[in-house]
Amino acid sequence: MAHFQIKLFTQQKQFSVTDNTFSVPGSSTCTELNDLVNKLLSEDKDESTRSDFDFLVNDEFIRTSLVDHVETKGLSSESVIDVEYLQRKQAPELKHSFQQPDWISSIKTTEKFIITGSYDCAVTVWDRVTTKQLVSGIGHSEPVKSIAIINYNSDEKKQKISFVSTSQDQHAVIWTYNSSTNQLSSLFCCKGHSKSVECAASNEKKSIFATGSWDSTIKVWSSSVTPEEDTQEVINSSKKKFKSGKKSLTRTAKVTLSGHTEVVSALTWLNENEICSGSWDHTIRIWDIDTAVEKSHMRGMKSILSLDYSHLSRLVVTGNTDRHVRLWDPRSGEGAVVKCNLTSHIGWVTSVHWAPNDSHTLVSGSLDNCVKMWDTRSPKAPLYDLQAHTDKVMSVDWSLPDIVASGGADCKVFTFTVNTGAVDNVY
Amino acid sequence: MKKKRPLSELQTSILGENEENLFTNKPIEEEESENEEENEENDDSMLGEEDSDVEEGEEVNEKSTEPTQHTEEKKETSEVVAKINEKLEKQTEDNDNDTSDEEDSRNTVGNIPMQWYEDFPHIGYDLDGKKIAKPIRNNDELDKFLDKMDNPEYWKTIHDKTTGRDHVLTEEELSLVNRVQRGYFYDAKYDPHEPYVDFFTNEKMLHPINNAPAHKRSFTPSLVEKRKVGKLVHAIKMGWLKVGKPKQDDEEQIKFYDLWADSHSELARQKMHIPAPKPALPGHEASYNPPPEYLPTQEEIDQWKEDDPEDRKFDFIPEKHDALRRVPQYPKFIQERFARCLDLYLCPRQRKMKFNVNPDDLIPDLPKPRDLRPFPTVQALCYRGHQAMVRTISVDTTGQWLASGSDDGVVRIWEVQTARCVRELKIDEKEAIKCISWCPNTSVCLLAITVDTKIIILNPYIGDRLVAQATDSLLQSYEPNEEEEEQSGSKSEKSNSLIPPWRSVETGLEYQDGYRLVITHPKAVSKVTWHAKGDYFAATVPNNSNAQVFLHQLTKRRSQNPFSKCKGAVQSVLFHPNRPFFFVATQQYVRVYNLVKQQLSKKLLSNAKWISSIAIHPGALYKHTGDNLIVGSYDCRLSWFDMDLSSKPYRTMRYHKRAIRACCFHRKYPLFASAGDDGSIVVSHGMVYSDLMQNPLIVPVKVLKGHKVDRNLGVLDCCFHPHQPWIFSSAADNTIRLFS
Repeated sequence: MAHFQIKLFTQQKQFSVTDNTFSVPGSSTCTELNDLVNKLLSEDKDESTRSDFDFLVNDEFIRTSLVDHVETKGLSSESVIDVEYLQRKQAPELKHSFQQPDWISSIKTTEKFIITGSYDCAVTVWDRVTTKQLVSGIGHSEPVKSIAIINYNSDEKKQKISFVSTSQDQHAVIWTYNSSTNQLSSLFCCKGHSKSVECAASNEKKSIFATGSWDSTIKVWSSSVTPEEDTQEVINSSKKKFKSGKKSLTRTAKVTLSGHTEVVSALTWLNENEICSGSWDHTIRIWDIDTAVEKSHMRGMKSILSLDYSHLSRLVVTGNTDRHVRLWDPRSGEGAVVKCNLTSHIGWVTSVHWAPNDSHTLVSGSLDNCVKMWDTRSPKAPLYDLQAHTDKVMSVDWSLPDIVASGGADCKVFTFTVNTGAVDNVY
Repeated sequence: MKKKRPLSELQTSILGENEENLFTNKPIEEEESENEEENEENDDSMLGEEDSDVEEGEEVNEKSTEPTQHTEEKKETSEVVAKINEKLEKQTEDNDNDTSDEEDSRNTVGNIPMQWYEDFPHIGYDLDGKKIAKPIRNNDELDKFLDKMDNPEYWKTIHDKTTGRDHVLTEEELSLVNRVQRGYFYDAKYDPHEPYVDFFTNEKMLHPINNAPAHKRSFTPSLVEKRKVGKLVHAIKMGWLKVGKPKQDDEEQIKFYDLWADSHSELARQKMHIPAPKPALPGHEASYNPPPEYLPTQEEIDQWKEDDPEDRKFDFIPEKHDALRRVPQYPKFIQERFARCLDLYLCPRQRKMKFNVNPDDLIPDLPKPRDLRPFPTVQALCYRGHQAMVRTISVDTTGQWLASGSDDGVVRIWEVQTARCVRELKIDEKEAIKCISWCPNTSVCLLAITVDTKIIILNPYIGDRLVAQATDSLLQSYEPNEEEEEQSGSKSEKSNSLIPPWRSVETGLEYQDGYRLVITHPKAVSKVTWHAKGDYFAATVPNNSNAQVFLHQLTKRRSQNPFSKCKGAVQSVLFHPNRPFFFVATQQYVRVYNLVKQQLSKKLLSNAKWISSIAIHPGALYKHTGDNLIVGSYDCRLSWFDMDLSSKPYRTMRYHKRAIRACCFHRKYPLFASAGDDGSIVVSHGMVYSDLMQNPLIVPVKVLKGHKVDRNLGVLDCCFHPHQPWIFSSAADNTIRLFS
């Protein structure tokens, strides 16, 4: 077996070793390299703490043997190979699971709460720590399809959270939850879509949010929680849609973006005035909100079910109606816009979410009952399979660095804790 | 490690077993198909009987062998014992090699019948040539019996003849014996069903397998050739060799080819040479001293004499002679010579013409399936919930909702994307939902359901609210036209029983369920089909003598029976998407009527015995193409008709092993599919060109499997998603599946 000259380096300062060249057999895998690094570290520091590392060659994780990896990457086996290593991410641990009466279509986490939208037309607020159901509100007459957090007031005493839910009843509803009074109230009903509203996304400043619908349009709405000029009062008793019996106000869309030819299934904001939308017509379009025009579009081969943008890696990740998770570069207009295919799922990928503090990791949920955590540098195999669901996964969320939440057709919400210690040191 | 699947294998998996069909020429296929069909039917019936016979036979055998199982087993095992002994010997050899101190007591007599040593006190010799004494054994029958009763290991104890000792079989050896007895492979680790790795693809690749550079030798001039050329040059120089023939003056004369010139020449005779038929070679029975088994008994000789000469196996009686010189004169010599001369004289003078056809030329040049994407390939979702077989499905025009009807009278509406059942309606307690169909008009939200004798027009209140409300107001705004009423009234006196009555549901529980209109027919309705514009719909009422088809108009709530007479039992009807044509499929024919002129415009001969379903290519909607029709039949065939070409099928495809239940076209992609009772759906690429001179391109691209066959019923209905290259299928296993 051929030997390789490798040079080890790391960006995690606490694990750095001396700059030497080592000759290792080609058959060595991560375990052998791990032993090597651990031995070097223990020599330097005289400590017996052992930690696991992952190894990168050419920005891709070594998952098989070194020789296989080098061959597939087409590197020369003669020259010295630079091997980067970093501390292995610890496996996420299942923390909580709680049951809902019906399928969960959407889930969002905040520091204190978990908000779910479900097929029994209700939005529910849960306490994240105690996993108690705090309050549930019915503001729709059809199943809720998605939820987006608008504003979160983290003030200790006066905790208030506002969010928007969209439903198959063609409306989006803006809610506020006040933790001190434990009251969930629907403030505004956003009317304008002519078919079921599939997705919603709120921008960074929390001033506006966008919704995408089966009528193939995207509408942008103001997300302020105070009544504006364009709202009208509607007496609920006439329609009996709102069981709360309180007054609810109607809001109309600021901007309507049309261009997609089929259902707009996913939305995400790129920056303050650019929104990215994915549709069943196989395209991803980027829109300018100020001028309400389409700036560019990327064409794929499959319908898009979910979409997320990371400000750290500046990449868009999509879940499609096949088994791949695709990474797109929204800045490159033409050519090969699909940067990478992450393949391990065996069903449609219904939901994707980037890690909030890491430019490489993301989670995806699929119809194959599996939630997978990915590192973009390891496209063939996921980092971890989070197998807890017994039916289709409909939604995953990784809004907070240390918690991944998922909900699905088995009516259960699962939360996983992610250890972010090592990652924080790097980024 | 997963082995790479070679391309060819992949292709076969894509095409399934239909690849052969694909590559045969059309006319052959048609001829064969009929024969095959008959054969297959016979085969099926034969097989069924055989199977049952065999099973019974096996059972009987098992019963009879049970009491004597032990002895039987022992006999069989004795054959295997030899093998085990060999193995044991090898083991001991290995051991001996390691430890030379141990005494070597191997028997070296070799593979000889051991009964030769029966009378000796020893059983053979060891390596040094010393006698190995027989071990002391109790050969008493009583002892054997007691041993059999007492020793729990008796059944696996065998007697080793070469060592004379008893050997208890180990677990490993027992499993080996078991495998050999069952006819399995000797080696347990050997897997005969390993995935086959085809190293070389059957397709012509762009790059050769061996890309070694040409040898240096091929560039340097050859020495041998140089010498030869030198000799020739020398011969030319010396005048020994004349180069170039002197030109003759024949050019002026016009050359005619004499057709008959060599008809009597030697060459012609040789060309026409037909080898003489060869006489049969003599066998063992013709020998002067044949082996004893060839000699006939007295009975056989008598039989031979009684038989007619034509019935005899040989035309002589084999005889045994001690020596060649005792063989008497052959009496039939002259006769046989004469017969041989007759054979030569009367042998057929026929030349067989051989064609040298390149087999590749016979295969039509079809594109590869992977170049024809997108098409559905894998199962994406399974819609579970129905309690009985799902006979019919329909996708609404937006592609968001899927309606399905099952045999227990339940209609369900599903969200396509998530397989969530959003509505469940119990339409009827007993009767099955035969057919369900969304109105293709996007400005109304209506679902037509057939159950028993009724067609129910339902507003499921799903999708766009405004559309649903508009639909209701549209239906409510209907005011019966009095004049028409009168007219129809006067007509109805003649044929009151024929025209089905409409009932409008305006209040009550039924209204809340979504019922809007109910049309009751004289007999059970089997199918309902909408016109593309969504105003007219046609109902098929089989078994209703002359009124088997009814045309209903939604806006005017009118019904009519377009045909005063129906030839044959109507199976299915269909509207042309934009021209006033109406297709009526009876058991063997598809008749095309022009609704404006009210006359029969064409009659298509399907060559099928019983048509099950028809579908029309939607190309006419979008661009100027001719009309193309697919017809599925219960005798496993799918026929493609190009209506401009002929009234016979342009192509007949036999990709299903059992009856075809449904066929459909995709509205946007050039795809069509057929689903059958064998539980599979065959998706094909069917490209129709706007150039009328170019024939449609038909390539089968994928066989989708997943549904279970239940009570000989497989997939009952299939339909494509209106916008995506996905296909839905419903089956007798109570599920609906989405393939994407």
